[in-house]
Amino acid sequence: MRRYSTLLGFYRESWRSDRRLVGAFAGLLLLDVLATGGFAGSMHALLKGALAGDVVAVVVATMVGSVSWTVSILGVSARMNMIYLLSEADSVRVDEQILALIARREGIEHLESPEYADQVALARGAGDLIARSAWVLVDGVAALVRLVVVLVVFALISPVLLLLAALLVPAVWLLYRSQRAARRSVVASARDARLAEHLHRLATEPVSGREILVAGAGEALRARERRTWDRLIRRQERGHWTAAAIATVGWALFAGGYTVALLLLIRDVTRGHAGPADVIVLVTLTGTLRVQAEGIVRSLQRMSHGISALDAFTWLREHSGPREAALPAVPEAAPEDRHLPRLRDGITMNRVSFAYPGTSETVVREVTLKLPAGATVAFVGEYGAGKTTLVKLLCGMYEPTEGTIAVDGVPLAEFAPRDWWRHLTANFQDFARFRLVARESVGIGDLAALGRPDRIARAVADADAEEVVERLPAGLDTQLGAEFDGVELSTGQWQRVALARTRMREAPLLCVIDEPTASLDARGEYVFYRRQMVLARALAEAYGTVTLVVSHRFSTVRMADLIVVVDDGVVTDLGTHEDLIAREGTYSTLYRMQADAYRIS
Amino acid sequence: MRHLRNDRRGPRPRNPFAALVAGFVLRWRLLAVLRVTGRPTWTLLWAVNLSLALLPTATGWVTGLLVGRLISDGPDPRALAALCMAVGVLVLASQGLEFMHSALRVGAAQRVNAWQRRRVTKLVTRPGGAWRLEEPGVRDDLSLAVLKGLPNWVFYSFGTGAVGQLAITTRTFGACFAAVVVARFSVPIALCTLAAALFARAVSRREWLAEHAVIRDLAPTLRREGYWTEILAAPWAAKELRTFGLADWALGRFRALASDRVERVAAVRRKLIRRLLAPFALLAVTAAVGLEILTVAMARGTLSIEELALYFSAFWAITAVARWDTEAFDVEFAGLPALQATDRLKERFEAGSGTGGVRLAESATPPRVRFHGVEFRYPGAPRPVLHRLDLEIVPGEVLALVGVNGAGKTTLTDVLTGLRTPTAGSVTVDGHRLDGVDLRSWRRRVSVVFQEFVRYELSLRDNVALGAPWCAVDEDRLDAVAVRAGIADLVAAAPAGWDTPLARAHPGGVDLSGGQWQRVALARALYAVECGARLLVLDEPTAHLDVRAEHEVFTRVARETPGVSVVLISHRLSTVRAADRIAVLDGGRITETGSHDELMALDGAYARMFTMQAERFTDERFNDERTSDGVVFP
Repeated sequence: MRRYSTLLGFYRESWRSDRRLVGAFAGLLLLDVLATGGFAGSMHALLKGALAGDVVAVVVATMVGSVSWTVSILGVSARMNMIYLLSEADSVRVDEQILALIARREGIEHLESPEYADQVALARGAGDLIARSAWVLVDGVAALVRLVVVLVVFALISPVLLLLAALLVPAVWLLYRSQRAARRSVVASARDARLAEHLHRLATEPVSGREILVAGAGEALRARERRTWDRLIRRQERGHWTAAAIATVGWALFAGGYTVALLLLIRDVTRGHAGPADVIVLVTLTGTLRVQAEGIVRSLQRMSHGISALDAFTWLREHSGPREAALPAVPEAAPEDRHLPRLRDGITMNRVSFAYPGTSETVVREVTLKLPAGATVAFVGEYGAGKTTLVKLLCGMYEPTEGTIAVDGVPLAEFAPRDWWRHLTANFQDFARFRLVARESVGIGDLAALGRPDRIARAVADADAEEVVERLPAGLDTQLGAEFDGVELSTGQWQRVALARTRMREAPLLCVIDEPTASLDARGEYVFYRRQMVLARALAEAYGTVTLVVSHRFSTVRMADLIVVVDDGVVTDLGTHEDLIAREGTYSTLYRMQADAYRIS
Repeated sequence: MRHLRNDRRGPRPRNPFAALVAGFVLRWRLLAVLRVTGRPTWTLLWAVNLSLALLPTATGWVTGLLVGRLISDGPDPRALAALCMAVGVLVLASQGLEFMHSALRVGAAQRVNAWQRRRVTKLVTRPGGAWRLEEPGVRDDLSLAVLKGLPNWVFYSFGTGAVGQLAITTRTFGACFAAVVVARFSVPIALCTLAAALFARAVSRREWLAEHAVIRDLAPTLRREGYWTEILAAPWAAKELRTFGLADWALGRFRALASDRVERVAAVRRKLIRRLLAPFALLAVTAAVGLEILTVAMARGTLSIEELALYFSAFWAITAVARWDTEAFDVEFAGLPALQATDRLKERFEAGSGTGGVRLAESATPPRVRFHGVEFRYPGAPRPVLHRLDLEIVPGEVLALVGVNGAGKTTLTDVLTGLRTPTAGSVTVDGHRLDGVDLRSWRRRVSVVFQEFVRYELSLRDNVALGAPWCAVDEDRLDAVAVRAGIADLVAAAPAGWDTPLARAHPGGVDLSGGQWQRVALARALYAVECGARLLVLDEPTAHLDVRAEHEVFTRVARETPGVSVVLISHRLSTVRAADRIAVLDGGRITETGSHDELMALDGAYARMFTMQAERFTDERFNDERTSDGVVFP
């Protein structure tokens, strides 16, 4: 039933947004019903008149018949166009709803669950499919009405033919049920579809294509692609053949009944209760009947593709709160429930533990830590130690499995996550490469300043990204990304754009810079840190901002006011560079190893 | 859009007759594609489609026989019953075949899609093809050729285009057959009806095509819309989307683009509905006249009821062809454009295949590679990236390549591996010019860790073994490279060991961190070395690694790989200093070469860079007040 409530909501919104178009479609469907009735009735009159030698009746019936027939055949094209018109207009709205459900969701845990990923894969960008299915459904209902009209004409010929109406019920019902098997097979093969898409994309994208070519892995990838497709095809074929078998059983029932009805009619003819013309009418109109039934089948089939997407949409709706679902998606009034102009005490983690959803392994264990206001803090540790997870927890991307994180004593759980997000700025290790106009790719770090060239220029300068911008053919107005006929940047250049984005917000309370120089060269690293230290200090003075740096480079780390050594999800040591060196622990070992490499002999 | 321009530039016959023939040839080729579905599917598909096309006329014929018997003197009840059964069977067949067809076409379409994707992959992974992926128009053609999106979105795929073409072809054949039947009554009626019906269909098709042209021109908009949906829903943008509160803004951008596109399409659709009125009015008149003549003949007694039943059915079977084929949409929108896009891709990728030429023999000794005055300029770029570059990679040495970002290090890798051809100068391998060498044989001797390495959403085993796909997978080898790349622990801890998929979205799969992925990429390159590659290129191999890991990787890989030349591209000078030889790339040419000590003594660009990085360790405390005055950057 949930599916129908989604559909009902859809029609309601559609009617509200374009009454004229919806009304025209309804009018067309009605006209089509009349034409079907006109055709059936006139064929009966035509053949009767022909057999009786009544030329006038024949001429009149021919006129009505031809016009009706033309209306119904033209109706197919017109209806289809109307369906496209309607569904295209609606698709924007549905797509927007789906995207809002995904994008407005707080936290990112859900994005990592395979079940959610499956539903997103089915629903994302499928607004067109869903909207079309919804209108195809209406079209299917109209086909059903036309079918009933044909049956009424049958009843006029001989009431015994109403037997056919009774038999059509199981036929159409089985047909509908049969689609379930087909649909299930499409859903079940979604994972293979995704893998096939991934493999194809790897081979055809310029970046990954290079490695595949040099390694000569193309053939091996094709073999895997083939296996994936074979699995997908086997599964979908099985589902669709099962559906065909079920539907055929239903229609066989009908055909059996039809044969009996025909025999009865012929008995009537031999007894003189009916004329031979009735037999031809029955057979001719069976074609019309079939066309209508076929229309229903086609509607169902076309719907079955959309239904998987519709179900995914419904699923997403049920797994979201009212805020995500609120539409039309208008920018929020931003009631800034909690606005902290300045960090006074600091950010504390109290016995925080975390395990990724669906896993039992705790990647962060009972971490208790204070990031004092105004401090520069560095997280160090080997890969997989849990630094990035700690960062994501502090950024409110995940909720701790246990323990609390508090900002100036206020638990993060009491903030709406978006309120906390407004207070921070972050450059993540796996930063996003927004292939927009360069100005936007930087400026979206603070949407309020997107229209302010001065702010963007300053952010670019703060990230030492001027050189990247200078090299762009149209400066900040250059489109980025080869797929949009723009300029493709190198990893290092992308990173500077991302850094500039991070520098857009003016008064963050937490500034996270995760592995900022991984792809910067010596000069970039040097200049970057000089500038970041100045910025960190200025922010600390103005807003008590905590600057949190995650780095593998000890030359960077040593500058921090507080160094946090993380190992296997636990904080093993913390203090200043001097404290830690004096303690001769893991930190000093690692530091020496890297410093030795630079000792000038 | 680009591919449309290509269309016009291509060899397009001016003469309308030739254009017609070309159109038929293209459709025929689309139909021929169905052969790839395999003989059983292909045969069944044709049989079902032909039967469906001939059924209406057949039904008319049987009905005629039935009615004829009925009014004849002394009807035979048995014969009547048999004929009734026959009609019943035809009714069952008409719908049963339709069900079969719908199952059949899903399978057939997906088989065609799978084949098409394999064909395109094969084409673009030809040895000489990499850089062509960046050529203008290629991306559009690639999207057109495989109709990117969900592969299980059956509606508009290359496969449904091919299957649809078959349905249209057989349906047309069915109408022609019916016309032959009606011609026995009256040739003019048969011809006029068929002509009017085909004319109505042709006008419909033309109008739909015009509409699609508009939609196709909107492909870049669609791509941008798709990109916004990615920003909003894909994991890669999820963290920024939330941190910077972009959701509603991005939704607004998506809405603006999509609404504009929809409005432009709607105008064309409305026009289409208006334009279809005239040809169908013509058809209505023709049909009325035909029916009139037929039924008046019957009323006047010049036609038997048996004949009337047959002609009546056949007459409707002809007019049915005017009905708009929804499959034409698949054909015109997916099938034909994909076929043409594939043709263009073929033309582009089959030129300069990179095969042929001298096959380099496998050898246990590393190759001697020389760059002779190599210049490389990207098409349309004002300045070359590499400019009269001379460099030698001596067999067995560890050569480090340093330079600022954008100095051309990556382009150098591309030229070395034959991904790009120098615009001037040449590269030689053991004395053979690279442009005369079979690239596959050369690439088997090279192994590269790319800066942007591939992350296969496949098993751990595949992720490593795909470094040398020509080499039979060998557990001992895998374990050996796992130790050297530092992923032995990872393999041991993974739920299914080597068989663990590296994507959380797969059942039992795991996600790796950046550093872990990098080690996997490293293991992949080392695996190729195990399988015979003798030149190892490491492009920023430690960018995602921490100190200890970096140290480990460098000593293990660069030092403990005997009998292999190593080219190390890095900007971490602490890593670089241990190399046998260091080459500084600046302004597209090599400006300094020598060992660390030699370059330090030279006191050039390298010495300046090294001192700058080192002083942050040697100084007691980093002083951010100090300016960089006096430090000259390369």
